[in-house]
Amino acid sequence: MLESHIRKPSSRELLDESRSSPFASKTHLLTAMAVLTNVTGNICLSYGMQEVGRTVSVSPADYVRALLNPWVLAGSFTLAVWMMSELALLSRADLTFVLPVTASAYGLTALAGHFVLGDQISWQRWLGIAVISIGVFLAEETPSLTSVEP
Amino acid sequence: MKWILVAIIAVSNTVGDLLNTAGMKRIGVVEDLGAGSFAQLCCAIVRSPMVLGGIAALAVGFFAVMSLLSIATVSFAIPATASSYLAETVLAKYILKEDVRWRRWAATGLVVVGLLLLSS
Repeated sequence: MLESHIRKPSSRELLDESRSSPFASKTHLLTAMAVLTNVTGNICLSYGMQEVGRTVSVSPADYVRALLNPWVLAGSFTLAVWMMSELALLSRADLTFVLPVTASAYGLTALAGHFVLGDQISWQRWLGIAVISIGVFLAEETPSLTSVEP
Repeated sequence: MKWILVAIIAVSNTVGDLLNTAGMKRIGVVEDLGAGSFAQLCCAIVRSPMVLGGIAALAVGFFAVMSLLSIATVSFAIPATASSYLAETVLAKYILKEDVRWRRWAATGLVVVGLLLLSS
């Protein structure tokens, strides 16, 4: 019999379990995976799209052509992994928990953009990274799951 | 042009995230992300109209992000895509019935302020 990786406990069981350490640890692991793949994917995608050049079009063919760039392809694949991580995370945490907690990806992307792509970071952007970090820590203080099914 | 793309991204992200959250809660708890669970998750997703709709909405946003990245730096483009945060928080509270108290409001507000600073 194949091992099942997706469970469907009752709402009460799930809400109680979400407060346990093992459940929280897995949620944090998925969060880390979502953040890292988001940052890496966006950096690769940005680098690739700068190489491809201006692509603002309603024709899918233009986007398919962009996907032929190896950096765009790598970025898109990594963002697909990010998507799966995000969906897995949303299966076990509130959207209003996931949104601020994974926002650390924005700060990390800005830093990666600076050190890898040479983007300039003004003092306002450094302040933005700091403010986002405070928001992330604040969100981490809240229970990850408060609603099971709408 | 940049701001039109930002608007498209905001709407598609809001719709996509809400559909995905509701859909994934109905599918069940994903335990881990090994090869086996990836395959199971893919099978569950293709059977869920909500998650498929959510992914489609996010795909529209993704192509708009690709366009935005071709005409703006990543430090502008990526934070600009988070303009949907406040709308998603409000809708998650009233539609998804999530318990959003002052810490989450404050966290969301700080993230939005931080993103505006990041985009400057």
